Amino acid sequence: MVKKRLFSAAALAAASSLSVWAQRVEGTIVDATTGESIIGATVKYADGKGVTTDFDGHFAIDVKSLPVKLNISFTGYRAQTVTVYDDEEDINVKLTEKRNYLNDVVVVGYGTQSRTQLTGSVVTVKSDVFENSTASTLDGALSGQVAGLNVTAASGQPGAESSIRIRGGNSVNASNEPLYVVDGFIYYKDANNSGTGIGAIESSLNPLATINPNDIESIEVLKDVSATAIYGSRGANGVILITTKKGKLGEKKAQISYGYSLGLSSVSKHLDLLNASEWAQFQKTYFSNKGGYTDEQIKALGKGTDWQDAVLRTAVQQAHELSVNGSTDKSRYAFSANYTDQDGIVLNTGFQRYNFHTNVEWELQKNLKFGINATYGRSKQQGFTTTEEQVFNSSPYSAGITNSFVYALLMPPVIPVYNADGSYNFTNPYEYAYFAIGDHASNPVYDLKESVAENVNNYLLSNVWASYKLGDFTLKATVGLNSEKLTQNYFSGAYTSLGLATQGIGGTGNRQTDVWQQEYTLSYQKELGIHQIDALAGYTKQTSTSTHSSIRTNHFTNETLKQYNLGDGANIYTPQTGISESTLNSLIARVNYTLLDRYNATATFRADKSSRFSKNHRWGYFPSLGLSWNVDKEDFLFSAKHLDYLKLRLTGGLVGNQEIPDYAFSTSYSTGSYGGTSSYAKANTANDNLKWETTASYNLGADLGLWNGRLNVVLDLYYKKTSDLLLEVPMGFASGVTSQLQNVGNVENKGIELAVNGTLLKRRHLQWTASANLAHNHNEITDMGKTNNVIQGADNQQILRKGEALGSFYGLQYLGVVQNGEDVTKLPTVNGLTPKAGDAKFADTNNDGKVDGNDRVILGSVQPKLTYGFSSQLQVREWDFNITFAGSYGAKLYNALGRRLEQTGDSYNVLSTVKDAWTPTNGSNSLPLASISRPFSYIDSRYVQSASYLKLRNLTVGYRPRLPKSFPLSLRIYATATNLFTITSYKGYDPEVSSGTDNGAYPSARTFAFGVNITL
Amino acid sequence: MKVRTFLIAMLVAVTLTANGVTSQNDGVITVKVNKASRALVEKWIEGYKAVNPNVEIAVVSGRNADADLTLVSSHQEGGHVTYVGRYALLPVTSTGNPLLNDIQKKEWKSRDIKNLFFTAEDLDDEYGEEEAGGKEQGTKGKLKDKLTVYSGSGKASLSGTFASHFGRTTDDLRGNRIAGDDYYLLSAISEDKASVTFNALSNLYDLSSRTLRSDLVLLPLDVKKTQSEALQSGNLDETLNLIESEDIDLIPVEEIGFAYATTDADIDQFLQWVVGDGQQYNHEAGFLRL
Repeated sequence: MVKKRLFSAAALAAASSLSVWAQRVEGTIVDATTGESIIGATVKYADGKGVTTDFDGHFAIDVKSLPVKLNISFTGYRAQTVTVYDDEEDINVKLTEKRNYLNDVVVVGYGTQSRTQLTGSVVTVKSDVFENSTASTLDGALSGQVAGLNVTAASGQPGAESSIRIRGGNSVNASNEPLYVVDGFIYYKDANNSGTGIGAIESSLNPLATINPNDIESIEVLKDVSATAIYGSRGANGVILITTKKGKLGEKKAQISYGYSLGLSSVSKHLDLLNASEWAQFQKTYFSNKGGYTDEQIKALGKGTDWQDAVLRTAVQQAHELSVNGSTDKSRYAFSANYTDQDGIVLNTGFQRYNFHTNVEWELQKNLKFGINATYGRSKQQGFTTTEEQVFNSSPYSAGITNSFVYALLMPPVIPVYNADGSYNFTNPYEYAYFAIGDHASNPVYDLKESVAENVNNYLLSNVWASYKLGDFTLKATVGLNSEKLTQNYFSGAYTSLGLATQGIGGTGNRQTDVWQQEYTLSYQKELGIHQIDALAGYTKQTSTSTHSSIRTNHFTNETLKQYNLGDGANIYTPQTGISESTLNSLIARVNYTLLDRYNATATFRADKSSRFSKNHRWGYFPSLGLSWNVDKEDFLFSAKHLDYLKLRLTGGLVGNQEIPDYAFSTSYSTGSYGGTSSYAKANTANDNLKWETTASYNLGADLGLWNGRLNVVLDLYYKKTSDLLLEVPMGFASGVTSQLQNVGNVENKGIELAVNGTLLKRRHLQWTASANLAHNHNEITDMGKTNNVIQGADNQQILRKGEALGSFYGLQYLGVVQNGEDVTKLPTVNGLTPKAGDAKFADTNNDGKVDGNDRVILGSVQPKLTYGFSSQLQVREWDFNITFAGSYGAKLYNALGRRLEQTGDSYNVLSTVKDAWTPTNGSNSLPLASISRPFSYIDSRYVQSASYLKLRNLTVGYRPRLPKSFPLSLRIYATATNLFTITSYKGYDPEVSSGTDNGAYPSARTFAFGVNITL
Repeated sequence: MKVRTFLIAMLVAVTLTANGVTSQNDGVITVKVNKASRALVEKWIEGYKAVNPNVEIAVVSGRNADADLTLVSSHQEGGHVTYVGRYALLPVTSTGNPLLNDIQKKEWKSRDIKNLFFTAEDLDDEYGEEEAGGKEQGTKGKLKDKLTVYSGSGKASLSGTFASHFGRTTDDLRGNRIAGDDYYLLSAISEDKASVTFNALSNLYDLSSRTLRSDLVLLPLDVKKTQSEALQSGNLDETLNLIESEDIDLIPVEEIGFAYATTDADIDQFLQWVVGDGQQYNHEAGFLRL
């Protein structure tokens, strides 16, 4: 034993003497939070010598002797000094990220970039926003989160799409929706190829329904041209980059999470309609009292049937989420499954989705990576059947009866839903205009319960990629397919409103859309002393093919199988089939250059060749330049103790828009049948000059951070001018078509955005943060060519006019009601007649002594003057609280439903506001004397109402019980309320209607949900 | 404590009996230790050999050294561990620290220690201090800025024990790190005078003279007067008796144990002896008994 020890001592001495001459020091540098290796960290030691860590975060140096002091640094991390005294263990240095907004790495088009080097306007929305929301689609959670991003729901229908506008709308006839990119791969949703041609279905499925919000790690909103120009032809409306959750490298233990939520929804607002006795009294006073009610009988009618309540319900929604994330030495993986089942608050409506998502990445060889992203799912939406937009007098749609829900609101409250024996009541003596044949009238409760209006979408979003790093170069190839099969089912039986005239009508339609995409990029990254260069070049190709087919039949003898037995229909409509193909070839290039970590420049160029334009105009070229200056790094601000960062940004460039129908440049014909033979009708006339719509965009911005992350401010000013506007221009009779898509005119958007977020309290057990954003946008058509004053809409309610905003409302100015004793000779005539007491008064704006269509004026527009959001998070020990408000100010909305429900007559119910209509004894100015007819078909200012609102979008309370460490799971339970209240003067259900016309949109819901999240 | 020792001994006995008695080494039990516990292990070996002269036990060291038993702190992950003693950590600076007067003027509360040793988790506190100027809080803020904290970075370092005692992690420790045995933290603060660190009693005290090393000064803790007197006396035995007899919130105390993959009869007997008779040597080597 003694000998052994002596030997050991001698060996140790020998080793020590050797170490005088050469000592190898090895170690690894990792991120303290994620455990991921830090590549390229600098390790400096004696006499200014240094090395950088390799791909695995490893370094090795030879020193003469120990101890040796190592200074370890990496951009965005706190530098650390480690003195090495012995080599008993491997050196493992954990660097902690500086919690500075500018040190965030943000996802940009075709790559990532440190925010400190960014020149563009990019806003990041983190996953907690989606975790706190019970919205089934991500747009529902984005509202109010980003300055300048305005989300307006199309309706309250579960799974319905929203309108998203980034810095206002640029275009009239081309799409204004932003481009979505999921995990670096364009999620292309062609707005022009969305339906199957079957019609008669009220709602369309939200394209974002294919993405489960809980799969999202972060969203980057690219707002200005420096950020969006790399997407060239599709960057004009802004770009939304979605990054899904991935396994974290170094996190060997798989993280398994399960979440369940259960919620109840009910309508957030009821319209105040007349009850049975009020309606019967109204009929007796002003109309013919068809029911023949006496005063006693009227009193006995009481409230009667509340048809609004009869078609609304308390709806149940539930969702299951399962996710598994993790990594191994050479791979990382994420898998999730989601099932959502959301009943709508209107009978027989709802949304179901199951969704599987996987994201796997392997390091096949040292420099070779390979990955697969795939989402497969199926969503199903049940909505309303619709009466379809037909602008002629006898159409129910033109009379404001757009669907069975609206029809329910119009049902006289003296009519019961059910007969005494419990069967549906199909007798309604007041209905004689649209939905009655003989003594058989339709019943909206039956309509909603028995009609079918389904959108079923099966989708696969997939791509595979491989990257190879060769020195400072990285080659990447990505190939992917987005494949969607949309099926639309429609059936209205013989007893329903839509099937009444045809003894039942049904149909089914399919659309198969396949979008193949290829991307090949070469990137180069190099740091040369004070210079940093990051360059990218590549080629991308997108090929889209969309086919559709639909068939409709009517006159059924057996309705049991509904749309699954269309052969039973005696009459067959002309089958609709079609194909649409398009290609987009693009060359992309970008160079980012940073000098002294202070001065940044980004130059981007994209050339797109689109098959959607005529041969001579297919290429579009989109350059941009961005500059930014990290002012805080200058010597003169070195002593500014409370300044974390200050950056100024300036960008400018061109982007384009090609979101128009395929073949719009060529002459085309539509098929039909006429007299038993096939027929063709000219659908479009060729335009050889059709070319890109181009938006020139400029942005001046500043990012400011103060007090060690306590306060962050982002301010942006922008100006955008869209030229060669793609506009449907009315055509002369000789052309054979009513309109043609042409490049006409300009639209300008200019605005200011401010976003502030602050940490109010940051203590160990008490953290409170708040953020607010505010945006103002001014939208104006600055040129309309020769086609000024294009009137649009079923009620001719909107106009495109130079000097006005897109979506401007156009109508008469309502001035009140002619009162008893008023000098009517001074009033302008209406339809050649002098108004009398009780008639509505309108402004004679052109002072020609008469009121007519020429007196119509701009009554506001759908463009809000201000959009804003506010959110706050409070964490107190195990409890967390989250509150989110969103608001809009200055926009107008045409309340077509309100106009319909204040139109008095002897068939339909009306709003209780008509009780305050003018009578000889009630000198009201709100509504004229009840009458079955209107003086004008034009809309007037009463129904172009303020759409300003402030909504409490979300209020969540969560609790994470403190469990023993040995417990194998963590738990969070929460309760959340959505749309708890809305402050608005709008008189309809909800001021958020994306089309700008509320013709009976599905009402929005207030939801209370409870949930649990378990993580293993 | 005796009951606890007995229970642990019984547990060890049962575990070891279950493992069988087949010898797995070549007659030499190898033990891997760090500098702070080397003296303790050597005492145990000496004491054990006195009653079992035929057993050979060797201390090994070095990054690649394989050993039957490895002395670990209980905060470190390991396979099977038999706890054999406890250690205490105290914050310390060097006598040459130019800020010694400021350090000694104070009685260091838990919050002060957290504020000095760890990165700010409470922005309010940090800015409160800066804005308080010359007040007492302001002095603390300034002192913090002038002192460098040294802590260990290796797996064997006791930094994890210190950090978790104050509710933080090693990543939250401010200042500079060392790679190597925690013993070298004392070298680091003697070289960089305006600095502080923390260490185990076995490293802080001279085991021969039983007094605090002459180049070190303990940070005065905000404890009861009698406790403070015992700590400031600089006497190792008084300090050990105090920490063993009273729970003092400001002093992290943690167990050490032998980690092993498998055992044999010789190892089992040695471990049983350490948790029993061997405990008499713990104080001598600057450790607390079980």
